[in-house]
Amino acid sequence: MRERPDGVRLLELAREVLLDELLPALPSELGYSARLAANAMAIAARELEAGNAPREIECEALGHLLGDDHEASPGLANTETLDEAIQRLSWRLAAEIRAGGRDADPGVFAALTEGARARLKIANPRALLEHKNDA
Amino acid sequence: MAVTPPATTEHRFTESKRPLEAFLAEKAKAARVRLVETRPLSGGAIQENWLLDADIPDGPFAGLQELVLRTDSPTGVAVSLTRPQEFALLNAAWRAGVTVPEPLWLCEDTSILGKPFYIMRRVPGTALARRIVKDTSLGGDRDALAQRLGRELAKIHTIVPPEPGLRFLDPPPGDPAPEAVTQYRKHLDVLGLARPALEWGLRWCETHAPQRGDVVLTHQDFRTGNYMVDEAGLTGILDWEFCAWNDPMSDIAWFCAKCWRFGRDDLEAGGIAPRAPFYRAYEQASGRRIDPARVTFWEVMAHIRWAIIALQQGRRALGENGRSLDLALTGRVYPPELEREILHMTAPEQWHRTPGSQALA
Repeated sequence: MRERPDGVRLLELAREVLLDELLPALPSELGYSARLAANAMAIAARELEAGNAPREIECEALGHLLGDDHEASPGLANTETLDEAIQRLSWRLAAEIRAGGRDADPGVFAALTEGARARLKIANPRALLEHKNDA
Repeated sequence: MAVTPPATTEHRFTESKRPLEAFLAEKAKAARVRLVETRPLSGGAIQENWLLDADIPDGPFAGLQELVLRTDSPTGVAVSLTRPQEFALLNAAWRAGVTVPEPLWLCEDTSILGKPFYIMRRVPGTALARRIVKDTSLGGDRDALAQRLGRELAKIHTIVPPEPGLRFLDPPPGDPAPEAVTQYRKHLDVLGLARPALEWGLRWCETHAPQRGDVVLTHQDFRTGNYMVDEAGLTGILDWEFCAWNDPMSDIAWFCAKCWRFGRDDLEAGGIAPRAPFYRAYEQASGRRIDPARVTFWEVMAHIRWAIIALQQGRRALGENGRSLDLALTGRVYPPELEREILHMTAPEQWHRTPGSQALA
């Protein structure tokens, strides 16, 4: 178990201090930088909170697409880390797409769309809401 | 995107005030020039813009001159042109009758600011995209503004190769659409990033590339946020550092691309108007018909291009030339959103021309 308060809570609190206490006291030309910093903290907090789950899902999806299923942990070869596995599989998929072997492939399309959605959920969840309203 | 230059930049600029006054005096053929105000303007993450108010007592420029100085920022993007090249483009646009801030003087002597810069006249108004999109008291009637921008773009597109003053540009592409695919694949390879969603978009572009058409001078960043408006209407088209010889439809597509509508997705011409008035005015002024399929190709390419620029900026955020939170966030926030839009535009049912493809048999 992580020490409490954990990193997510600390970032949330730091962000509140920045926006509620510091920002109003800053000269207006520094407001933009302060808001950038607050946004960076929000992204880092969401990434920390989500943990490994989004990358495990991505790794598994890539593994299935590329026929690289391992019994215990699809997509993940013996000694490599999750990030290394995602890198390796992404390179393979990128090369197959570029070579024309995956044209209009609905499975690839679905996995890539889900991957973009998962990244957006951490980097800019507001854009996700806007999209839902469009539909 | 607005950035506040760090305090050190301001300090350097203060030190340069006297030599800058001497430079201005020489160019304005005045006995002396006094800078009564200098302050940074919000500008790109790539360039620095400074407001200068110059008190000029005599000579052809006598009076209080409202000027802008433009120079490189410390975190410049390698793909953009240099300030002297941008100055040449601004001059070419000025001569072609495009509404731009009048270019005045170029300084390549780096002993004054430590880097080249140029001076142009200041034009009134704002270029802030979100303000322009939201505040309809700016820019005058919106359909009229879209028509005006269509006519301005047609004027830019009257500049065709070969143009002696623009020899520094890369040679005109033989076949713009497939060459753009090759170029952006190369950029991805240089970044060393596996981005299957961008590869998907590039492969769609490769299989749906339009035939070669006209090749003209394209602005390559003609969008809301890069033109100035005041209450009455357009006052100037800015940011000429990405110009290149290309298919004119690439500029039409960049202007209309969803990523440059700033929250007004319903107003497809830059978040300010429907496409119709913009297209109609461009077609009338240029005598060139806009083919929607050709625009769609360049619109997918627009999202790919912006995604790759954002990834490059993210890479540069922690680079040798300084650290930038602004660039870091650009590299993190925009690519997934752009990839989702690219996928949306190139869903399996949008693949019409895939010779030899089993999937569509």
